[in-house]
Amino acid sequence: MLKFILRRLIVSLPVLFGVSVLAFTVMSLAPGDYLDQFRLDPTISKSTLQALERDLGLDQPPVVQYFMWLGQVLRGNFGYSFQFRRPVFALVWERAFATLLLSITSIIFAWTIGIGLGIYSALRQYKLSDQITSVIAFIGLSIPNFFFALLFLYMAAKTKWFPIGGMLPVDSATMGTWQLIGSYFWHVTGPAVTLGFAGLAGVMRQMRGQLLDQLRQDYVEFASAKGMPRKVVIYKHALRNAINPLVTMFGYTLSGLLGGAVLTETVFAWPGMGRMVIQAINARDTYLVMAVLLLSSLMLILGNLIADILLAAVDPRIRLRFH
Amino acid sequence: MKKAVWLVLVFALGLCMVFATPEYAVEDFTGNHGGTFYISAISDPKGLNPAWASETSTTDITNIMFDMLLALDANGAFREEGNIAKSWETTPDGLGWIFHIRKGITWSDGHPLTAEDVYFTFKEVYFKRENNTGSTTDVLRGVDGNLPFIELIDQYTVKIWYSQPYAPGLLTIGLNRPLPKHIVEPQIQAGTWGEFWTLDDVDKLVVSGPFIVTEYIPDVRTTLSRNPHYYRFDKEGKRLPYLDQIMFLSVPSQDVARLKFEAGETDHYGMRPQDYLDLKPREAELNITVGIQGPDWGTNHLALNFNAKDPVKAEWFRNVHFRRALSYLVDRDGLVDNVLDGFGFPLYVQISPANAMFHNFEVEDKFPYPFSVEKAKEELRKGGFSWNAQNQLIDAKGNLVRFVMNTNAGNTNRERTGVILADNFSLVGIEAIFTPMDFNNMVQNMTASGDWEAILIGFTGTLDPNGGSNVWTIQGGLHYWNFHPDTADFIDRDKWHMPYYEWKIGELYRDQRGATVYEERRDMFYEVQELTAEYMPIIHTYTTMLLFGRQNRLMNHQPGSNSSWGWNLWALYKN
Repeated sequence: MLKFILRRLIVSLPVLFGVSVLAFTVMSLAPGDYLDQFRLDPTISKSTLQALERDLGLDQPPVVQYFMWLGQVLRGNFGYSFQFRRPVFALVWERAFATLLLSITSIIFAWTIGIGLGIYSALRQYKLSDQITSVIAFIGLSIPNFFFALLFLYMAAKTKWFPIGGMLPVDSATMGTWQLIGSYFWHVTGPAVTLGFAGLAGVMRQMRGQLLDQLRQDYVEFASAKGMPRKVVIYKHALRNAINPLVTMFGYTLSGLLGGAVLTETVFAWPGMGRMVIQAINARDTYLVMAVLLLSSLMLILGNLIADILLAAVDPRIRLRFH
Repeated sequence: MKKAVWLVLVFALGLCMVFATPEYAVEDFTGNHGGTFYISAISDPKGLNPAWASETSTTDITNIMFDMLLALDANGAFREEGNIAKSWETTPDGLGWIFHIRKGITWSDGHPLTAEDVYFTFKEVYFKRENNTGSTTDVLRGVDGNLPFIELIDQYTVKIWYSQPYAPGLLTIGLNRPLPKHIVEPQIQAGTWGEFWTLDDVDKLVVSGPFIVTEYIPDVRTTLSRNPHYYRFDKEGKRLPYLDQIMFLSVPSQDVARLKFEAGETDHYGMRPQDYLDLKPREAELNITVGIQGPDWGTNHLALNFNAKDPVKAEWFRNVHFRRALSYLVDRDGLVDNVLDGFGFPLYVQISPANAMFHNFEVEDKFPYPFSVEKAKEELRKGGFSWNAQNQLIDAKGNLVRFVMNTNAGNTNRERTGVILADNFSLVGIEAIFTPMDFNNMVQNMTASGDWEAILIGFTGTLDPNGGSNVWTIQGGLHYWNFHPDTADFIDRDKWHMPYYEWKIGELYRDQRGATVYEERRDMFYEVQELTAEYMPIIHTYTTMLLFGRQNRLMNHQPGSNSSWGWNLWALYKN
């Protein structure tokens, strides 16, 4: 098992290298650079702009820039953000907590409710309750996130049940630990429900379809015929077989843990990764974008690995082997 | 008896000289201590260092922490007394100024703030391009392109002068913010100044202003707390500022910022026209005040590329009659009504009406461009254009007049303007193909390749009109519609042409810098504006009106064209 994990991680290094080359190429091909915002500032002279270009290394050809960056990365230095003048990973870690809090709560929301509703509606196929849950799921799937977020905030502003965006109340500096934890969950509800509601539909439909597929299999019929209680047939046999594709899906979800959700974060003023990334891309803050892209690719690789391990755990037919 | 009185007086005078009382600033305000001022900020500061601050979300914070040498009022004019410098005088030769630093004031850590800090800041930070964003150094350069001289006369006196008279000098020098020598000098010597006072260094701050950042939570909020050593007092002798804290809440969405303001969570909100229209009728219900700050210092214009890659088009764009015709077709009143919901001013020149000292208010009557298809057609005929059977405009050689008009995508005001202008131009058979594009892409076209035809864009304003020099002088780095071949290598020297009025405007922009008498300088700028309105080298469109909303509990708030809420921040308090 350990050997499998190690080998998978080693094989992923060329993937990461490829990602970095591709990302850097795309960033370089996009017109303009970080200094564009200064080029239209009447107070900055041309000679100053040229000096800034030299300082930031932007006067070098992209290939040289890439290898200079790669050389630094191999020495453990992922570079400085042009905008913040700080190491890029300091900026990433600052936002990691908020991003994880939001993605984990929204995943829990989407998956517990999604799987529950999926099973519920599969067992009541084509009945009214099945139709209603499906409609709700599809509404979640079709409302754009930012719109749902705005609706939620209007509700929050009118009823005062939830805060109008943000992660911390203004008096958080004087709060006790438990109060603070409580307030985190109070604040995360809006964005988590917004994100989770969209994810819920996918999980629910997948669960429903898979379970229905399994329920039509011969072994289910056989188990019922030999007098096994329906509950055991469904939960012990059919459900276990139905869950496999969902485990793979879950692996992909894990890869998005640190990615952030730009629109939802923006509307809810949530201090996550998505807002920082979009700002960095707009400002052509190359090294910050590179750091986040590499991190996301790493998460994708890890997510897939975890999904494979989980799959082996839930499905005895699957063995972890590496050719 | 008389002798005794004299003795006492002389003795008292002697005492004063030994224990000089600190020269605090005393303001004509009253109020109560306490409270927190909440405000939404669209984005976080990128650092805390005023020398490296380059965009407004950062300067909004650093400007509070570090006071300027001199002081401005709500409309951007000098106050009688300065901030760090209590007073100043022009040197007899008129080339420079002597600044008298307030005696006995301190930095937020209690360390004395003296002329040495001022001297050091200019000499080592603002005069050295590598120690600031670069624009500070560029702006300080005088007529000959050289930096001013500085001399430390004594502990409370600094003299700064140029080798030639430099009219914008006092304003450019006075707007700078002294830094604490005892903190900054070691950083410069160690070579770590470039990464100093980043958002990691909240605990290392030492400031001169009314508030100091004490907490920064990324994308959540920036909190500033009262500087207990601040040198301002109110007229009742209370030490300013009144507020305990200012909190910038990070709210990236305008709609949510408005919701927060409506719910009373924030005390001030910079409004869009639509917000004004929605909230004005609800003032009493929400217990808020909604109002107009004044005209924006920035300006908007349509530029045509005199050196367009297609020589046929370059020919049209250089044709003054063609540009005048377009100016007649720019329905400025209509744009103000439709794009800005009425909150703006029609504009013909490069200096915004916010700058009452230099904006030429008579230009509109002298060179009026009312929206008129007839007048536009008349100008086009004068310029050698005519119409074909389909009523499309053609030039003297029979080419159809059509061009691409760009603006930066995402700027809704400019996008709406572009649509309206393209529609107006079609009234005389001109086909303007309006395509908003990515900002970086557009900047590259403007400054690096010169491959563009028409562009809708704006420039931010500066308090002194000399800030436009880079745009209007002949060799200016932003004279982008007709770059000098020495400035931009993509300009073909043989085809390049500088018309008289362009040259004259450039000369005036160069010469006004030496005109130290206000009236003389004003007249030069008046002439610049007349030439601009007459020949329309670029076609100005409008300037926006700045709007604000505040909770009625916020007291002493005095908005102006140069201040949404900041000019007298130390006097704000909450009821």
